[in-house]
Amino acid sequence: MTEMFLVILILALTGAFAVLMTVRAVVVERGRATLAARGVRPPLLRRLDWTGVTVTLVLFAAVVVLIVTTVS
Amino acid sequence: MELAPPRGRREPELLPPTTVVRAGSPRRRPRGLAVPALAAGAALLWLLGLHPVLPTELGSLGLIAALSPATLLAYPVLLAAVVLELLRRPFRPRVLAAMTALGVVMVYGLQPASEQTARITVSWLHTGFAGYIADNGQALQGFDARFSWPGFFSLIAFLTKAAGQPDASGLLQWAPMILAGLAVLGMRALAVTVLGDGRAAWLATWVFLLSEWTEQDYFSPQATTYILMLATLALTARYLVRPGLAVPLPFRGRSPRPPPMPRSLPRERLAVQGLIVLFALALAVSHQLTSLLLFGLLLVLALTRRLWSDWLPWLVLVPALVWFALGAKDFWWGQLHLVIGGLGKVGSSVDEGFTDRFVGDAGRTAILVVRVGLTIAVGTLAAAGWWTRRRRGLRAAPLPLLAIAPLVLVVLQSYGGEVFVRCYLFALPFAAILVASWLDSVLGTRPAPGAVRAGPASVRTGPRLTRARVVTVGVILTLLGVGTVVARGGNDAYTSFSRTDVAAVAEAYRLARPGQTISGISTDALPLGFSRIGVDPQSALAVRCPSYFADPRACVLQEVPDYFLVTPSEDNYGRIYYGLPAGWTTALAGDLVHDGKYRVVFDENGSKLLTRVPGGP
Repeated sequence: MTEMFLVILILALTGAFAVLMTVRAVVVERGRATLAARGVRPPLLRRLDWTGVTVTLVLFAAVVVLIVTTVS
Repeated sequence: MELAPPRGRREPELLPPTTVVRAGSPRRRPRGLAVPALAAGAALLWLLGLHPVLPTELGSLGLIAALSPATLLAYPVLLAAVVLELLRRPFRPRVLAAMTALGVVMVYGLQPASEQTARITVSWLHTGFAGYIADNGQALQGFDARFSWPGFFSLIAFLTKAAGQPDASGLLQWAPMILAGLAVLGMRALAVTVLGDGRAAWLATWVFLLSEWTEQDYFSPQATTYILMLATLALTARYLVRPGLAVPLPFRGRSPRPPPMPRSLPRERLAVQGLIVLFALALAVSHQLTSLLLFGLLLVLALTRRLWSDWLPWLVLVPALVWFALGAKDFWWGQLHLVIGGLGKVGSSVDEGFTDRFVGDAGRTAILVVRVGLTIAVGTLAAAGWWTRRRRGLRAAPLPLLAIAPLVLVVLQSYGGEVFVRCYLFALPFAAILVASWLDSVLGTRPAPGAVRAGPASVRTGPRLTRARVVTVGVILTLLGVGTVVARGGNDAYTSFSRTDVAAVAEAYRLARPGQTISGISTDALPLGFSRIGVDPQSALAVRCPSYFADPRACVLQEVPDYFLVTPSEDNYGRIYYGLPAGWTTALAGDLVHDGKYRVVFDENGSKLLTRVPGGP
């Protein structure tokens, strides 16, 4: 049961990561002038980056827990 | 593979040369047809010198000892033509492209052209894996770790079924030349992006072509994913790197300014990122190592602030991680120690990847020395290239970092004793770029690659071109090329096979009933595994009986395989690695038959298939 939950969690996080990265790529290109001129990320981009970091970390943690759970 | 410059992007503003080159002046320039004629002469020499080579004719020095003088002479002649063409003002890209294609054929097509059938046991085994998927529609669980990354095998299964072929063995023999040729194209695209479309980029392409001795271009997931990796790096460098891999970051005061935007269009950048994600998905399901290496290389670009998209490395890593967790469970379940057991054990990696490989007779040792020598030579020349660029004020950190980044692999694990081979393979594209920078500076007279604006770096003129410098470049390229030909064919005494070897194995497949064991002596010296995967146990005695060379007969009688294969390649293997006398496999087969334990069911040109006599051992 735990394994099933972890597999679904990993798939959901992967989907979330894909959506985040797509949105981020578009936002970066829309704000490219500001980004290039000042080297400062707009607030939306910063929020997307932090969400991306969180999703990635949770995804890594879920993978580790899945492997440890399965092996043990 | 060569990409058109993105719209809105200008070529690097290289300053025109400021010195007049004596050797390049019209009076001394090679005539228009002289260079193509020289290259054609090289091709003719190579073709005329080719002759069939069988494993029985090879010793521990491998293929090089069996080559004719004409074939050997063809390499320096071709490289002389390449150097002469590069000295022309302007050189002719079409002539260089044709000579590069010829170089690919001469270096990577040598073995397919001179040997009867495909070499390297693993390429035959990969055919069997693809055949299993074609027949069953899925990978075989619990059989082999490579089935956990079935992307390549599934593609080959699809292609063979779509083409109506019984298996993929028809693709094996020329696969190294095709795959290595594609890798050279990838290298060319990367070199043009990094160095501009000048002489240095051609030199980088040729250094790569002449230094790839690792033989990781046989029919395998590694060979195909390596091409995808080069394509990803070339696309990234062209569209997503700012201001360019070989260009120093602009400084404002003492700290670097924010890097400028890439000179590509927004839709181009989005399309390229989408393409890279597609490549990452293909890599994730096809090869366990390439995704990680590509992640590491892209991370270097991100950490040196060159990537427009900071998340690009993670776009490559996440698919690989998710596949590892969900798709490769069969691999890590029960053998997690293989993945994490080698972490930090550098000594173990060095022992397995270097020290333990120095076994065998003097010829085998000489081949290993050539490989180590080539590696050291490329590393030294790359360091010289880095130093030359640095002296010219071109302090771009990514290039040297990318060239040494794959060495991190040594800290992670031994990769079955192949860690240094893989490190060299993944470092080679960037090392070749650095080596080319040095060779270009030796030829001199042009602004350094990456010199995009006027300044001390770009106005410095190169040294006057002398005959000695031209000869130096020609000799270095020739030594690299001949060394690579020697190194690539160094194991051919036991990794190449004859048609009768393959026929003996096919006969075993025809005769064996499901569950009967088919064995040979060494896993490296038999074309085993190209069929009946998962039906018949197929293995080598060397795996279960490591000391077989001390008493091979006792080993066979202990394991009692139902079918036992004896080939000249195995004979060579025992001679080279363990000092066994020539003909020891024939004597072994004779003993087994004389004892009444086995009888011969196939015997042609030294390739024998023995079957166990019912009621025997």
